[in-house]
Amino acid sequence: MSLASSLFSFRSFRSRLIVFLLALLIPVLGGIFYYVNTNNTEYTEETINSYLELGADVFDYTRDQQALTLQAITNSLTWDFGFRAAFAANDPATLFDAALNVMDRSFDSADMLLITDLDGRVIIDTETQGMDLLEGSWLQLLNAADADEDGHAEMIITIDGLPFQVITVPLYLPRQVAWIVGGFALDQEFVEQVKETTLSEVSIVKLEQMSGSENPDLEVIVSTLTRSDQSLLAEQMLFGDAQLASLQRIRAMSQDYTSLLRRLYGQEGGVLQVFAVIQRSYQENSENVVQFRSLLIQFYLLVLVVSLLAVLFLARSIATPLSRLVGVVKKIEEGDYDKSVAVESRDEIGVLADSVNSMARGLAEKEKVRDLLGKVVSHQIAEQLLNNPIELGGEERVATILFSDIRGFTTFCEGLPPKEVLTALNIVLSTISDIVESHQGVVDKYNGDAVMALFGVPIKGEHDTANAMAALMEITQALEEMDSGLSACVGITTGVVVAGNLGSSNRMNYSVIGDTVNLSARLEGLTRLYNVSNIVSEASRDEAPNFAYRELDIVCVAGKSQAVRIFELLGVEGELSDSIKAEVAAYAQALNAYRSQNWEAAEQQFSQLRIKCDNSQLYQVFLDRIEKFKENPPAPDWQGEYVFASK
Amino acid sequence: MVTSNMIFTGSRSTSLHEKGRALLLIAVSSFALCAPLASAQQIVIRLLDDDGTAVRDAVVELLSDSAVAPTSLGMQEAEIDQQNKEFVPTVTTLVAGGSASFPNSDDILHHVYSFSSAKTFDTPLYGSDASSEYREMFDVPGVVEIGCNIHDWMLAYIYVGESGLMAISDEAGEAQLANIPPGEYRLRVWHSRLDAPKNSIEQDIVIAAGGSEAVELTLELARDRRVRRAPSANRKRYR
Repeated sequence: MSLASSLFSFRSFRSRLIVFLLALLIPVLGGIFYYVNTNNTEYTEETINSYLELGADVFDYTRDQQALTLQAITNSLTWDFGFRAAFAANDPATLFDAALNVMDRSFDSADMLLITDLDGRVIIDTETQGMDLLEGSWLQLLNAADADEDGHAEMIITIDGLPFQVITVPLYLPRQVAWIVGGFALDQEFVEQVKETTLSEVSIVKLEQMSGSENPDLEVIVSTLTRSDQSLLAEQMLFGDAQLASLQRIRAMSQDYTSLLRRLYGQEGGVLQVFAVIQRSYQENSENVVQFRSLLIQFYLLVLVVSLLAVLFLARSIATPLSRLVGVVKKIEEGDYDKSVAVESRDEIGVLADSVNSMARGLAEKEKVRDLLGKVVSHQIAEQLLNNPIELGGEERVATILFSDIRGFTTFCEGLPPKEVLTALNIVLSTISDIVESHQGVVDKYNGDAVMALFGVPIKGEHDTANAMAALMEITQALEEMDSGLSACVGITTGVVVAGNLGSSNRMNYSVIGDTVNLSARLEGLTRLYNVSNIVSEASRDEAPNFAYRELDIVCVAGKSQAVRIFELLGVEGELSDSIKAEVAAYAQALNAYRSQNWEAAEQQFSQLRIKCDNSQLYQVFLDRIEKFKENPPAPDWQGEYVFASK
Repeated sequence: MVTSNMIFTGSRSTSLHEKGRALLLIAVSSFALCAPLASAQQIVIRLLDDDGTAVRDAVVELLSDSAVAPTSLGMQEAEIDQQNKEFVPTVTTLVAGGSASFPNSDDILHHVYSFSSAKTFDTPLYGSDASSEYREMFDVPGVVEIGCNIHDWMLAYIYVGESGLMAISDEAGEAQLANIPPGEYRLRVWHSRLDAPKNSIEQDIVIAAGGSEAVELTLELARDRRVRRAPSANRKRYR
């Protein structure tokens, strides 16, 4: 599976096309090649076979023709009156000379003559084999002639190992008195003659079974082959009746020969057997096949090259607009929607290009909307709006709400033209907004110089409250550093809010509502009373334990019956100075005395704090309350909470 | 008392054959017609082959030690004509010392020859004009095979006999000899295809005085290889 997928995974469309082309073309071309080649080879072999058959026929025909010529000559001889007279004279020497004369005049058609009487007594024999009475094959020959109506018979007989084609003619004087046997040798001259006609190699091979030896001796008597090929022939060729019907392939020195066997003399297993071997060069005949094969290969190469070019062209026509599309899509991915694809074609790629173009336009438009939205609302809210169906309604979420206000802004504005006021306000609000966003907060809304920011909605983070604390510290510090007499007062609460789109179906606003939000605004408002830069709720403090706080009070804000413990964020845990720590400890002690209604001690401690510490207003608040409580003691179940009747 | 007037012994008949095969079978269907004329003996010899077919052109001759000398029979003359490129007749008998002439009745030339030991001769090429009449003497008894060197198929036999008592079998295979003095004879039968030495067989025969005798002989004939007659001139491509 992985192999297949790795095999068929392509880096480019072009290589895929090429591989598919080759996968398609090569089997088809290969199949055609195999078919054509096989058929051609078969045809060639058939051709060679027929050539060989033809060669064998020509061999026989030449033999027959020469035998006929020999017969004609010998026949004419018998009607020669001089020869008749010589025969009648009963003088073998004269007859012998007459026979030699005939052979001499025969243009090599007659190589030997033998005359016997009707009882088989040899009268003359130009081969001087020393026979008195005919024997063996010669007797067989005459018996065959005797059985023939015209006294004709023919045979192949070996004389001194050389095969002779022999024929018989009766000698009439005017009745038959003798047999004349004429013969010509199947010698080198003969095989050369056959070769000239058939363009096939011809050999005559003798197998002689010597007494005592297991295998017959094999001798190539005459042959048109070279000496070395003759011995290779003798080594490789099988001789027998079984081989007469089939062809044999002989590997010679320089080439292969297909060979056909003809029995000339003897029988299977006989003492003497003579075969003719007709051979044809395999290479010579397969030249056409080889040529055709190379032509075919050239043609295939041409087809492959043309197909490859066509595929490359096709691939280019697809891949070029595709890669242009890829480029544009990549640009789009990077946020550049200005590029468009120029594809002229009206095919699928053209359609795709059009789609990409319109997609780019759509994305550009969306981006524009997103940009604009980001300016009006926070980026995270914009994302929330863009990515979710905009519906009215919301969900309950735990969030941290930061309320920030600028103290001393009214004073700051006095005597300044409105435009400069706005510029200054924008600078301050931008600063606050940037700080909020840098701590993953979301500016929910501006209200004059006040900013409401959300942490934990719409996207929940891991340290939302801590982020809010960090933002608080940074805002406070940023405004101090502005050195414009402005300072920030911030309230932070954490709790369940309802977050969602508020408003009408035509016009809505992503925001949060709930007690937590209200409390946050109240806490911000209380900073003026306690003269602190911030107040955070107990829930917020618990959520961000890595900061240092001091408990300010327990209050019941307007409209709420539930008392909440409020804290002042002092800084990062462990970074507080010793004097602050001492003040915080003293304050805690005083607060404790206050809550346990030990008014004398509380009054004394707060008074000391008021004298020693900067925030005299804070301690004055408690001194004022103690004064009142001395006259009007709180209820017996009083826990130290202070109820604010108004906002 | 009627006695057999023909003497034949099987052993003698087999002795005639070197090969020891019973080549000569004599049908013993001989019969005698007792006639009052003592000096007028007639013998009919009927020759059949293995298949019972009549054998024609066979020569029968009666030989006797006491036979009259041939010369006393007077000079015999025979004529062997050449008609339509054939010898006519094909078998001729002559008593030794007789002669034969070879007239040419064809309008082409012939070249008559013989290489037989009984008479070797050859004529020049000759035609039908009267100036070229060739006659040959046949002194030695035996069979002379006559051929034509131009027409290989032409073949004739002259049987040169020792006695005058010769006859040639006719189409019915019958050879008749008349006016034979009674006595012991050797009957010789010759035929060109007879499968025996010199193509002849002999047997003893006694000719009784008076009456007529018939002897039937079965001859074993060898297959004869003859030269086939060449196609006639008008069938040739060139005239």
